[in-house]
Amino acid sequence: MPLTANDIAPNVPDLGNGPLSTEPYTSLDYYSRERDNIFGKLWLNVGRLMEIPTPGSFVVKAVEIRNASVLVTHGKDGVIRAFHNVCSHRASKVEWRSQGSSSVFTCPYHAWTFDLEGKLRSVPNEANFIGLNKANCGLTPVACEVWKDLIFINLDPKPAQSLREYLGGLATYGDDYPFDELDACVSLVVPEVCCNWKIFMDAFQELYHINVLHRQTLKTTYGGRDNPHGDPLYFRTFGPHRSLSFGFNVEHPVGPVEQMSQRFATDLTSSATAELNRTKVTEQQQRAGLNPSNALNWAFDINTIFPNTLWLAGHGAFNIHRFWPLTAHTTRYEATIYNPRPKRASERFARELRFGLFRDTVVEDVLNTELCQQALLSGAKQQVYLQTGEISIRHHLHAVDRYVRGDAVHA
Amino acid sequence: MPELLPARFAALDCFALGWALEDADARLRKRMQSSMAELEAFYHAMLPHLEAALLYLDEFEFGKLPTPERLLHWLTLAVAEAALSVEIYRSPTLPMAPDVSRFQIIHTNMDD
Repeated sequence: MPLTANDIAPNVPDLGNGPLSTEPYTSLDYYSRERDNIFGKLWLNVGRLMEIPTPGSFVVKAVEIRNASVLVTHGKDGVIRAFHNVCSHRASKVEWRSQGSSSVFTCPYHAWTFDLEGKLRSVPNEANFIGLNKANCGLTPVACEVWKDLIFINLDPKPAQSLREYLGGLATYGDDYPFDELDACVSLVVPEVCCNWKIFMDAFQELYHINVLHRQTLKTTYGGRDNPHGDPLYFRTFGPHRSLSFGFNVEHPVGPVEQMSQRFATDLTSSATAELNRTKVTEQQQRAGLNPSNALNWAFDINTIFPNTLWLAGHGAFNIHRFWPLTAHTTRYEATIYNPRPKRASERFARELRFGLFRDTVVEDVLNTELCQQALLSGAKQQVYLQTGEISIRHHLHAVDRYVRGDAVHA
Repeated sequence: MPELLPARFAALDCFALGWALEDADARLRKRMQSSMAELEAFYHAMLPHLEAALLYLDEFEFGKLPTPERLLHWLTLAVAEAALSVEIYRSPTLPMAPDVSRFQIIHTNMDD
């Protein structure tokens, strides 16, 4: 069941079939243009509203490629705002905690104090600052908008597009997805993966490698007799963003404990009909957008929120993966699985095996992608080859390249 | 003296000390540091009681389990971890997986 023209949405641009240059994975010059034209210009998903649920709560997010520390606050007026986490006095880092709740932020250097709206509230020994106008010395704002409950920032002082304009058709696709029902989370963080951010992201944009690299972990979960190479069910693009649908192998054998965890699950791993399955979310697969090919064995849609976020949307569960460039050849990776909050011990049990499998599969990708990066840096190869089932990678490299070359200010 | 499981699961008491671990990281390390024989012994001892244990635990308010029930709950999480090795990997560790110190697991609110 290889991917055919029928499985590719009509709007997908012609991306070609030939090999692609390795330059985007290795070149320092290319990386500096990604820093300026992509991470310095586009909307970046940094978190979820549930991280700052009440007025006064805040979270600090790093965007290392921009040397930026961004303070995201939930104001007393309910407005979500973002600021550069930099004191107006002599540029110290104002908030050193990663998250918390506070009505003011006091710089640890000389105690200049700012409020949740970024205004400078107090300056010790203020009389000695001759001519100081506190009204001009607030925290530097960062553009911040929310779609559904995903928080985005934009480090361009004057973003070319609103978040909604930037997300385009992807936002329409996801508007009915019930993010707010899925608020129990477990995260996997790899502080440093020694490869370019795109190399690691590529590993999550195709299932061609599942039966091979993950032969001991995922095995035949996605690729069975009718789809031995894990080809996607459907592919479509929304400007630089994209959505790729995948199916389960319905013949994949599972052991007794895995069967038990499926039976008690309420999420995408569940194929059970047991009456115990009381909180199973049944409506989600019917909602607009998901599973565009209406496949009976649909597993999830892998959606790329360009440039560096993946949103895996499934029945009653989703994952968010973020790939943060640290240098041209190193990446910080964070992945979170979201489910309905467990209401019973059996439901909590049901999450454990699936999360462990996810964790162990991802760490297999870590080692492999680091070896890829090292090999690319050796200069042994100048090109990589992509098959049709890897179309998502081709589209990603294409979209990155358009920004890097300045052809896609408004994608 | 190891703490005890609920009376009806006393047959599993001998596993509580080693396997009733609260922390997901600790359960992973326990799996990776066990031999295949140890993993299979734990897995096969737990399997006949697993369904009954889950149904029993569901009678309690989750997040407010008394100590014996909490130990039993952690044992069910540990058998999920052990099952990865017994049912799927056929090995305590994965040759392709780097050292566990390379990553962190953060349970934000799964166990509230």
